[in-house]
Parts: sequence; C-alpha cells; structure tokens
Amino acid sequence: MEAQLLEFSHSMGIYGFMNSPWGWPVIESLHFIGLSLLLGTVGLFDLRMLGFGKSISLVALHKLVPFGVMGFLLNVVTGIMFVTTVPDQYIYNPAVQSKMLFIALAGVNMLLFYQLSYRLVTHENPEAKELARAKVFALVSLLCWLGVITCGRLITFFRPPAYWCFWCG
Amino acid sequence: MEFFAWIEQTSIALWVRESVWGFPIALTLHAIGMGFLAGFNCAFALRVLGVAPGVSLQNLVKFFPLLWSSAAMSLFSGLLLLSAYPAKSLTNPIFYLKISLIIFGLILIVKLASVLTVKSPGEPSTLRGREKPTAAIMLLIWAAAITCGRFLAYTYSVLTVS
Repeated sequence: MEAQLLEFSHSMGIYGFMNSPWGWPVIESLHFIGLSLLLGTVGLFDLRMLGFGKSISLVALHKLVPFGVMGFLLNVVTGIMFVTTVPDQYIYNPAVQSKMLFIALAGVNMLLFYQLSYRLVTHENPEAKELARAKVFALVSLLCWLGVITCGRLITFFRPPAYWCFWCG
Repeated sequence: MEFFAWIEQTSIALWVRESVWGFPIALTLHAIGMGFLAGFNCAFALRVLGVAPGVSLQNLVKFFPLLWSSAAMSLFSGLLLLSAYPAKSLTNPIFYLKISLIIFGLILIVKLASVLTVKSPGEPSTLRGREKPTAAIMLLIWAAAITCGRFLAYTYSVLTVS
C-alpha cells in the first residue's frame, strides 16, 4: 500500500511539489483554513442546534453549511497530498487511524441527520421532538470534529514503527 | 536573550516543552481555538457578503460569546506555546505579522458588527458602503493569519537560548 501511495504522489507531481521549499507549509496552511471553514459553519450550525443563538433560523443558518463542505473537500485533497508523499508516517500511525474513524463517524452521523431531521433545514418552526433529536446529532457532530482536530494534531507526536500496526499487513 | 532564557526555565515552560502531554495539549487547544475564531470570523464575513441572507446580523452577533471564548482559548494556549519557545517566536518577524493580523481582524469584526447592527440589519440591499469590501478583507486577513502561524514552524532562526 505504501508503494502504491508513493507511486500516486510521484505520478501526479504531488511528491515534487511537497518537497519543494514551501510546498509542505503552503498545503498545511490550506488544511488549517479548511478546518476553520468547517468549524465556523458546520460547528456553528451544531451549536445553534444545541441551543445557542436560538433567535437565528436554522433554515437560514444552514445556508452557510456548503462552505463547510468546501472546507472539508479542501482538506480531503490536501490530506491526500500529505499521506501519499510520506505514507509510512501516516498509514501505521494510530492518531491517523483514529482520525479517519472520527471522520467516518461524522459522515454516518451527517447521513442520519439528513435522513431523519431534514425538515429542520427546510421548514421553520420545528416540533420540540425534532429539536430534541437534532441535539444528539449536533453533539455527535461537534465531538467528532473536535476528535478529528485532536487526532490530527497528535499525528506528529505519535509515529510508531510499521510493525506496531498488526492489522496493516 | 537572558529574559528568554529565564522564561524557558519557568516551570510552565518546562511542562509544555518537556512533559509528554504538555505540548500536544497546548497545540490541540490552539487548533480548536483557531478553528472557531477564524471560522466564525469567516462565517460573519460571508454573511455580510450576502451568503445566508435570512440570518439577521443582529442575531448573528449573539454568537459573539463564541468569538471571545475561542479568542481567549487561542490566547491562553498561545501563551503556553510561547512560554516553551519564547526566542523561537519573538525573534521571528512573521510572529509579529501574525499577531498584528489577528488584532486587525478583531478590530474589523467589532467595528463592522457595531455599524451593521445600528443600520437596519438583515437587509442585504442596505449594505452598499464599505461593508462588503471590509468583509472580503476579513477573509483574507484570517487566511493570512493562519498561514503565518503555520509558517512559524518553518521559518525560525533560534529554537531555544538556554
């Protein structure tokens, strides 16, 4: 897997760019900007669902969420640039693996939210029952994204050797 | 330099720099504070630029406690990081640029919020003056502040002096 990832990085020209003098920090900066966009829009929407700023319409505030999705996509692209350039620093790293797990959880939580609570982002004056259920989605979402950031920051502190990861093969 | 050496040897600095969890905890708090701080500023600027027009600006200001608590969290964790490596940041011009950008950004959002909540808010058509260019500048300022922060890890000339 390591070899394939590196091969991808080389073939796409990512490897050369990331190893140029300012390649790595520039992409890191974009990764942090994407993170901020996500927290500032999706995180804000979660806080609103949890009961902060109640006078703001959920339907109206939800219009900011596409910018959070853009931030997330920016981070998928920049994240792939990091991982494929130095795969051995990432794929065996438990911080990275936990981060991916939190992202997957956030994704499942989001799908369930739009499946079960879609009325909240299309109709004003939701019922109390709908609002109560949404609080669970909001809390899970916030905790997942904070988990993603925490694990992301831990990546550089926890780089065990490849044999640590017994299921990586 | 002696002053930097003294800070580096304080017990807080030693904890952040040398304990197992000090540095990662401070870094994580700094990233979360940054995310909410820069993120809320961007959301506010996007609203002024015309996104989510149904959110009245008077109401969006209700999230200012989030702005100030994330700013406090970033400041607190930033001071912890600074105490561990004072010479590293304070001898780097990019650090002063980053701090100036953040202060400028905070002044802009406070000014903009006070202008917009006094004017009839919630009506995008009333935003004809300098509000939209100011909001665009806010987006650039926060992107630049984040970039400066990231570059601090790559552009220092001194790590520690003691």
